[in-house]
Amino acid sequence: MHEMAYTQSIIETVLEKNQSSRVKSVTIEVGPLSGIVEESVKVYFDYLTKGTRLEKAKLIIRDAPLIVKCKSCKKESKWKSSTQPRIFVAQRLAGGCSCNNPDLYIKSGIDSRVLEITSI
Amino acid sequence: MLLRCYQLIMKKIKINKSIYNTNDQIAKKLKEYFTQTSTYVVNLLASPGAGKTSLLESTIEKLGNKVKITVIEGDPYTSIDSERIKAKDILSVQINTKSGCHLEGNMIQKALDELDCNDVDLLFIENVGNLLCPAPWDLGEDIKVVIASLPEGDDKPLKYPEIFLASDVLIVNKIDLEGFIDSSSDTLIKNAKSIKPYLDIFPLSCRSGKGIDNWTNWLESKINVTSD
Repeated sequence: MHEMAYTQSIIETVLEKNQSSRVKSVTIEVGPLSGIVEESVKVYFDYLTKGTRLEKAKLIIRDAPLIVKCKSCKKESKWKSSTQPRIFVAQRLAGGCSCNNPDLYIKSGIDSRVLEITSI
Repeated sequence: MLLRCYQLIMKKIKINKSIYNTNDQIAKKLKEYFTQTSTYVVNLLASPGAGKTSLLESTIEKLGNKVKITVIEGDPYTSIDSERIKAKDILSVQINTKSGCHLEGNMIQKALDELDCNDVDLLFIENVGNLLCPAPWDLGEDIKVVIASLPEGDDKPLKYPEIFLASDVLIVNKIDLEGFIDSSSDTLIKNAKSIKPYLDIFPLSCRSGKGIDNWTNWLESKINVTSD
């Protein structure tokens, strides 16, 4: 539903960084909680890059890690695909940290990032 | 040989930027503008039917004669909510997102063409009814307020943890239905606190008026603080 806005943002970020040469590939990292449907991004990417320096560029999508971190002792726990990502987050946040601090946050997994491009 | 030449002229460029980067830049500018005009901005989040517009109506009734309030209304297709706000003699700017499921900074920028925040103490941005998509989109607001109403079920914080984590305030609406339905406000609050221990929480009923004063007194104190 919102993938067009995300794809537009990916393209703008690339064009801003690469002002002149032709882009051959774009590597992005998608968080498990980002709410982004990868297949839709691919479709919009092909459509929205037509006539730009990104036309025919390959879109490479990687999984970003999902990490919950303690605000106090900085201990991190990383999600493994054996549980559902939202259940993992809810349980981690509810359980608090082993250092007894109840205040944890999602360090990685909501965001998605444009990592790198190759150009010619 | 040709492949080798091709590989040599290929350049790898590191970017490592969030896809919210463009929006975050716009949100930063919005925040500067709101600070300059001393406008306290509330980004109101909830699922459809939780009572976002009802909360605005109740808040306007309590604070409308003391504080200059304006509303930006996000809705996919209609201006039904906006008309309800206008009926209270409050300026309301409508954003129709079409199929869009959340508001973005550039939409707020556009809405600001129609209003001068120098005349506004308190700006509500009523986001599109949705507990998933609006959470990561910064609109330059001071606080995010999420409404969870009892009939939706008391397990919502466990199903949509990121929106409760992103919020500063939780409004538990429709508490007048307690006892008539299976979900309980105690369980809802316990679940929300398990996700975010330091949420400010206001149980209330827009329909009966119970608890509204606690919310509006708190909000009024916030506005005074930032206007000083």
